[in-house]
Amino acid sequence: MKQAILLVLLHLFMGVTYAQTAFKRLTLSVGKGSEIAIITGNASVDIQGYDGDYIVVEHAPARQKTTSLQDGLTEVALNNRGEEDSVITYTAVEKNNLFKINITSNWKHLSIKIPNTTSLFSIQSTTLMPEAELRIENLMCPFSVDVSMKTISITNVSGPFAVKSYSGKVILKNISWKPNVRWTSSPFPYVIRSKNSDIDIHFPDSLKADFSLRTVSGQIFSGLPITPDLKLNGGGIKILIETDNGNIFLRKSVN
Amino acid sequence: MKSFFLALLILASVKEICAQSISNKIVVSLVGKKDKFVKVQVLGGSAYVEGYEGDDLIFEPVSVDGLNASSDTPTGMTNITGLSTKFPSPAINAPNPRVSEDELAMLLIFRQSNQNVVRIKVPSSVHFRIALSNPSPDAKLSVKDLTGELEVSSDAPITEISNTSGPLLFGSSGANVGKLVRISNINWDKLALNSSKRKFWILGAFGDIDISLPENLKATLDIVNKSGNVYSDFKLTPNSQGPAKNEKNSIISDINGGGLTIMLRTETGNMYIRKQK
Repeated sequence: MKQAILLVLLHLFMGVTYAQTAFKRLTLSVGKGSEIAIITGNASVDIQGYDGDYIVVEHAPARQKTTSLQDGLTEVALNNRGEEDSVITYTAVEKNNLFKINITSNWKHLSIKIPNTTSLFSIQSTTLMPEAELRIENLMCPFSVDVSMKTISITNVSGPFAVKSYSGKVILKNISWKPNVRWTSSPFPYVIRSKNSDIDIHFPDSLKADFSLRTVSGQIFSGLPITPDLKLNGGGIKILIETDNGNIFLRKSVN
Repeated sequence: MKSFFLALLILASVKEICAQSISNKIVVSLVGKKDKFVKVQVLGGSAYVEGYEGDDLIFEPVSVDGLNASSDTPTGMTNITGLSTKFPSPAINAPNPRVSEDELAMLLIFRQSNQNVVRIKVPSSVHFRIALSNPSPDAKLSVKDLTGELEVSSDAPITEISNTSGPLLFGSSGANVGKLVRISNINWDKLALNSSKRKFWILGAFGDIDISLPENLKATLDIVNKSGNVYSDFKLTPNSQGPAKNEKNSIISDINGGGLTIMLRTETGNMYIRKQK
């Protein structure tokens, strides 16, 4: 009896752990307001927000990015090069409405759908694939990004958000900037940081913002009427943008 | 009068051992030191290294179109860097470069801001190492016209090596993806005569390798590419040597019957092996 009670208590404290199994398409049911944290491996990732109740992970067609460097050349077959597995494996732990999911796959391009009712979504990834790209589109919940990929492209999102890039260029367009939102304890609901790459953000004409801009050895270029005290249209939403070695481009949105 | 001549003597001897700054040039004499292993480390900015027939190492700030970021304000935008909070950059203290040496080697560390470009002229036959440390998107390292043994280390997005004839070791540093090293116009005939065992090693780590080879070159390509692809307009098929059965993502291939070994390695980049035009 004592052992049985001990086992139940152990289960409750550790949360629910999902067994690792191979899938072609992974579907996990999440309740409204859940927090979702995803870790991916060596792959490009497309994140789409949608109106649904499941996390959906599946293989996406590889992006055939041919550069001009390949012109006139033929691919050379290498010894024992592994084929892409046609499965996804994952481990997931759910505790107190937080889903932590670690995804493993040999596919080089994954598609992940996230419910827009998520209270907080985060993605972490370090991939060394030469052309790896993270794309986030149509996501209308707060989110956090901590990745090392060649390009991070974020479009049609609302945030608030924190984006951290090690070496990939960060491009943001069509952001529905929200006034009067908080991001944890930080005074900045919108944070964009890169270590070694450029940050390129498009802003609507009418946005009222207070910028905090910092750089170690890059340059900052603006196409917006920012005043010397770094306010746009009299100030408003606090936006922190900083980079060590890249440049910052603040552009006017083109409709 | 005695004091005057004494002062002249002192000035002359100081000139022998110190780097000179003439206008913006900094000159470090290598007279009597060309047998030493000369190592130059550039921290920040971009660097253009050129071999020449002379006795001095010369550091000269230059302006190169497209490389001085401060001059590249996009159309319709304003440079507002001055309004921002700058994190403190490491101070560039005199002397620059900082020089240290022993019987066998000489090390020079040159600092500059990320917006600057330095041309470094090197006596072409010295055993030379150049390392550029600047992972920012605008950085570039170019090395050319050297005949001695050469080592190159770079974490810049673009590195170019051309017209060299000594053994070459290239290593990509830093963990940034998206780097490219481009190699062309190597004097392979002279290199083939060199007795060094390690003649031509290109270790790309996290970047692409783009190498041009004469169409009639007799060489053996020893290639390992862990995640990227290899592209070529040479017909590359495995030769009788291997690779070993358990060696993944690799190929050893002869061109024109085989010969000089060219070692190419990268963890995550692509390789482009092309016939030189």
